[in-house]
Amino acid sequence: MGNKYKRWVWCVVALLMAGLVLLGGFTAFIDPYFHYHGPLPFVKYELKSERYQNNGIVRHFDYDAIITGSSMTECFRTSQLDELFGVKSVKVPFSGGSFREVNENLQVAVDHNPELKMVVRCLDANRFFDHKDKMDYDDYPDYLYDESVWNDASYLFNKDILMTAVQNLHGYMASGNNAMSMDEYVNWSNFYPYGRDAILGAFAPEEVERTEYRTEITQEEYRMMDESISQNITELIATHPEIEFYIYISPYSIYCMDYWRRSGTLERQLLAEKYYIEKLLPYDNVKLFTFFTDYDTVCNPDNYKDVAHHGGWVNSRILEYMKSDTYRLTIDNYEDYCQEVWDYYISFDYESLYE
Amino acid sequence: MLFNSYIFILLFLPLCLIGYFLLNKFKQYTLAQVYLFGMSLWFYGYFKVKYLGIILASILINYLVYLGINRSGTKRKAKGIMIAGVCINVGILLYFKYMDFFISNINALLGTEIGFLRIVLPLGISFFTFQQISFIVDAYRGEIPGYGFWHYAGFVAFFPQLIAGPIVTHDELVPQFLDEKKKHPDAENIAQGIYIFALGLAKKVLLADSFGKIVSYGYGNLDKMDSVEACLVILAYTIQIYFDFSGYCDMAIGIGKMFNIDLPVNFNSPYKARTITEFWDRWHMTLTRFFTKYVYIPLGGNRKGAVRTYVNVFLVFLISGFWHGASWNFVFWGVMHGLFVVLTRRFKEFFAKVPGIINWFVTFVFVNIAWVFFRAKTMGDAFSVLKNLFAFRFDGLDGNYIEVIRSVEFTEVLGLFALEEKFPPFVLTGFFLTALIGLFGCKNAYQKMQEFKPGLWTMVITVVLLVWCIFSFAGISTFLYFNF
Repeated sequence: MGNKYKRWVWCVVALLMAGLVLLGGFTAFIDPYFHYHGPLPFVKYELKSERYQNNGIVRHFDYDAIITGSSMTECFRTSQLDELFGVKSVKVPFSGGSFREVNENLQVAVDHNPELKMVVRCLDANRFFDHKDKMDYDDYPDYLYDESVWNDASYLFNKDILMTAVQNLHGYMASGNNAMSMDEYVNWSNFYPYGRDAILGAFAPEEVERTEYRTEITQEEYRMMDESISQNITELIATHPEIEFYIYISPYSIYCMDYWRRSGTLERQLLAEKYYIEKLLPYDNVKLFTFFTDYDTVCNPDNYKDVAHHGGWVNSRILEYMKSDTYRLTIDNYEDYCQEVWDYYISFDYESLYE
Repeated sequence: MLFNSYIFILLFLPLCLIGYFLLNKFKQYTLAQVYLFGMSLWFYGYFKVKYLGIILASILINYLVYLGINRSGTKRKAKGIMIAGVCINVGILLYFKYMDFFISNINALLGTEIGFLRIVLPLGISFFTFQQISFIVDAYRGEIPGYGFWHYAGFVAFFPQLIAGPIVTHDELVPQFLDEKKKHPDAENIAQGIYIFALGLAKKVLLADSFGKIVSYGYGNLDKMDSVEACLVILAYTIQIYFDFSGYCDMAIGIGKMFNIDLPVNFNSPYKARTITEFWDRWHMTLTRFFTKYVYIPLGGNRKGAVRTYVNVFLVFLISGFWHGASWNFVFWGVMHGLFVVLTRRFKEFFAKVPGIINWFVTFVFVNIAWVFFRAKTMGDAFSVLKNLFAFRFDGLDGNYIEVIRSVEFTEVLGLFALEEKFPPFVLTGFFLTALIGLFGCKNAYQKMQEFKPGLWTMVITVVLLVWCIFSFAGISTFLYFNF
């Protein structure tokens, strides 16, 4: 009698362990989020989940250049960057990502890839006043980000990831290795309408709440910016002079300027931009770009699907500008740029946008 | 630590079992008890290390009270110490659980602006406080033989029952710890334990958590809810809370069994009850037992006439509502149950004449409605669910009710057979049908454990459920009863 129970217990334990090892092993082998290794040639990987895959991409892919930033960078084509600069690049955007989030990913890239020589990084003006540690997401898959193997159970024994692994393999068997390219990765450029109607569909100027109107930045705000810039941007730049940082401030549309104006923050935004510029220009390995004087881009609503997001052709334009040093800021020209931007956007006839 | 976590199943439980039985094998009985206590503290402190101080202090204070009662010499002195002990326990519970509730009510009533303490409720505090109150009251009554500290600490902290019950009494647990026959691994008990653990885990992870998603979505979108959806959400919560809590208790019983420790049954197919009194004989049975022994009977029980009996019954449910949570919702829920139980007892003869099926239906509907107050964050939310239910508005089912429970295995399996295309609400209907069959058509887990046979079929079910559940952990999951 006892033996029967004993045999049952041992069988259950053995089968349970076998099941976990087999299924978990399969996930580790296919590795849909590149936690252990880069892509295998006989698997059709789907690139679609930034916060699950970007970490693995920067750890295990073969590259020497990175495009990173918020959703503003999702429509870049790495093939264009490769062609223009003769690099092999990956794209790791974080939709809605904070400066800290983007920087932490860059840090992982730097730590794992000594070949890295070029970073194209977008800075979002709406993040200028963020706290240095701002992270917007609660349910972060931390087990993918740390170096510990102890929490990898969440990756290995996870039915969603297991099923993704099955689909990756099945995808290859069904249609060969025509895996999604980095150009297509989270690239939404062709999926939205653009133009004034699209922008006004998501932005109601009369509903903008006016916050406190101030034309100056407080000492406390300067301190916050200092902390964020230093922790999330310049520390990495300073410690890695061998890497060239192409940093640009995302060209939001003229409607965004109006949003800031209506909410009473336009002056502060422009002052903050100047402050960021002054903090970044001193680094020899930084090439800094802003495009708010490219009025054809910023003031043409057909380039935008909402107040901030521009179509992929603007991303292409940005890379070309970078290649040709157009709209590049230097110690010598930045004050003129800031003055021009100030004069233009403070006195702009915003009502004309709605006529 | 949660039972439904990787660390518990893959590391903690095996380590705990092996260590406990190895120490016992070498006749290190006290050390085995200390080891089990230490592991229980790890289990508890894993949530928050700060909690450890509270439970350790509580155990220590109560043990001192117990020693004080034993050495008091006179009955009067013993009574004084016992009352002081009960007050300390109730005081701890009031402070940690109810302080902010009192403050918010005082503020509302007197227009004051007393700041909230914002105390994070230590897990399971309601359970281990009650358990220890019962211990010192029994000590005063002279029902406790000499217990060593480690046995006492091991009894209170025994991790399977520590944070969500069942509410075990000392006379159920300590004699089992002392029993030498129970100190060695028993294949039959381990097999039964694993089996019942797997069933409980599946109840929690595969069923309760899925229904929880429907409920969360519903309560998050009250303004859009029509009558059908209100009905769906109410029923979903009734199902969720049962599978969640009873699943947890099944797991606790299963783990206990692996250690050769029998824990009391806490659920006996409660939704099959034909009257509300029967429901309370079947739902959270150890809580009902506690209230009966330590509140209802000391209040006089049914010995002081009909009116006093009803008052006592009502008081028990009022306290029970309050015990479940520091908000008026829980009090209201307790009041509803209290009134219905009193009515049922008062008109017992009338209910006896009503056909069983109607009695069952009325009871089940009542329990469903009462759960609305239990689940809703505010009284306003609860009433708006009921308003939606009785508005008789039918807008067509919001597709998100199906989307939220669509898990990957169902999508894949259904994709293979194109079942969803033929019958769109397949997943939702499937879930509800499975749950209702589980509630009304199946034997409860305890009976299943009694009838357990170590055959191929039980082996396959156990392994499949365990693997399936483990692969379903990665999501977020919390047990409802932790905060009570």
